[in-house]
Amino acid sequence: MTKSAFKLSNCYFPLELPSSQEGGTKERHSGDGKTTRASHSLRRIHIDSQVLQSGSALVEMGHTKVICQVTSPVYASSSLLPSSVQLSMDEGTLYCQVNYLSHASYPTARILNASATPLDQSHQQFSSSRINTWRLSRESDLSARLLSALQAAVPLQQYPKCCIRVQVTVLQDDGSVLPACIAAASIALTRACVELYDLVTSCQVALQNGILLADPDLDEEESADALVTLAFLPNWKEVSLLEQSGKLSPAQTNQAIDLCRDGCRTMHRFLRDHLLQKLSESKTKD
Amino acid sequence: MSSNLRLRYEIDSFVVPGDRLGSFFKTTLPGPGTSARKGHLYASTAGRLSLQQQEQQSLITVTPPQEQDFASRRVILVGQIVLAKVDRVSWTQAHVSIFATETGGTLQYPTEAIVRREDIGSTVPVTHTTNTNSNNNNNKTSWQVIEAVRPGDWIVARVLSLGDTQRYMLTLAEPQLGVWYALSAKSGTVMQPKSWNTMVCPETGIEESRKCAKPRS
Repeated sequence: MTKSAFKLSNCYFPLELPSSQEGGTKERHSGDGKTTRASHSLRRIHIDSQVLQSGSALVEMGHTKVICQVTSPVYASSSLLPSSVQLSMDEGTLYCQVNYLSHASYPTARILNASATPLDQSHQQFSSSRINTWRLSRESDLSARLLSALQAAVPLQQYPKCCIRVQVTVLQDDGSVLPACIAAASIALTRACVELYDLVTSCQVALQNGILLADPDLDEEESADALVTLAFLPNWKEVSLLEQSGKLSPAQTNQAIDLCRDGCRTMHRFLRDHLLQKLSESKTKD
Repeated sequence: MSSNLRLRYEIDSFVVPGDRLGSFFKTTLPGPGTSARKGHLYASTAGRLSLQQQEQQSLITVTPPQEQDFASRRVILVGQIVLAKVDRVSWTQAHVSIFATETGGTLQYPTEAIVRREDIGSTVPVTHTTNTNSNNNNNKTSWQVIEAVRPGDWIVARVLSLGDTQRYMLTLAEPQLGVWYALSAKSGTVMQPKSWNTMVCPETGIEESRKCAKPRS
């Protein structure tokens, strides 16, 4: 099977510097450097599948880039599974792991500058261990959330004593990593011919100065007052993951969840168009 | 029957996992690639929608594009015939690695299994004239593992159970199961099965004891 070369669509485009404006509304960029976007629109999305082996996907949302590889089914006593994963005899197990690629894929300077207290002078010395602990906790957090979002969509009783391994690598983190991971996992599971009840789509919304911003990038995520993430099965109309951090009034929470749901519907359209395009391409090859 | 069938997508069009295909009745049933929930049919894989007519029912299926097969076909299930290679042999069991199954084809990488001594079969050959009931009661001996299989042999076995977390359990206790391919210990050439319990090397003529699989003819 020939491997197709894949290209990152906006790899060479420079990121904007973090702005030092005090107050006022900042223009939101949509990731390709040319257009600005409204508060409720998503960034530019680029999806590519079968990039590594059968059952892989690359998703870019603005500058956030993730690659997902699905291996299924993975049997017992395999080197791909860590010993902590327990296989069940009745049904399968889903094992999700998110990894950051290297030190360049997350904002090192911001982690270092976010010291615990103003009296903490030692952050220069122990910078690498601080980054490592940040990275490990962030990776395990993302893995657990990805697992709970995907578990609703995979019929695991078809895989007794087997495991489906979803491995996501974050190439660049520019905000909204979890929605990109979930979209990549959905595409990769479909391309690996794992049966799914429904495609899982996800969207994130940040609240900043009373305005709800859909698909926040890294600056907006960090300066936001609250962050709401929703993972949604669009055809079954069921929620598989709903998370909120920060402080929101009940009315704002409802609006944020509605905005998330609209974002999920848009993502579903993109995922669906990509899969249909790949199906018609494979048909014309025969 | 065709008036009951109202699908939201045309037959032979492409669908994506989760697309709602329509309602299902007693006459239209979900087939491979679809799932049913609350009276509606949903596609569960990306592929082409098709309709298979059986006598009174029609199955709605979604078939993935050509090189691909469902991942769930590659799962090892109880009762399947598998092809395995013997790694090592002990007094009570033989440790094998499963390389392929009958429905799933070749596995991506082999997985471990064991064949216990009592699952290798009886030492009395089962023929048409043998009265199997009385012979099985009187016959207490079972195969010695080293005389039935040797390390490096390829065997055809059936999955007896899913076993424990590390290995599957296989059985050789049927006439068509057993050693399929073995190399002679002295000369290293491929041996031919001579009878149900011996294989002979064509070069040197030396016979070795194996539990042979009945050749398909």
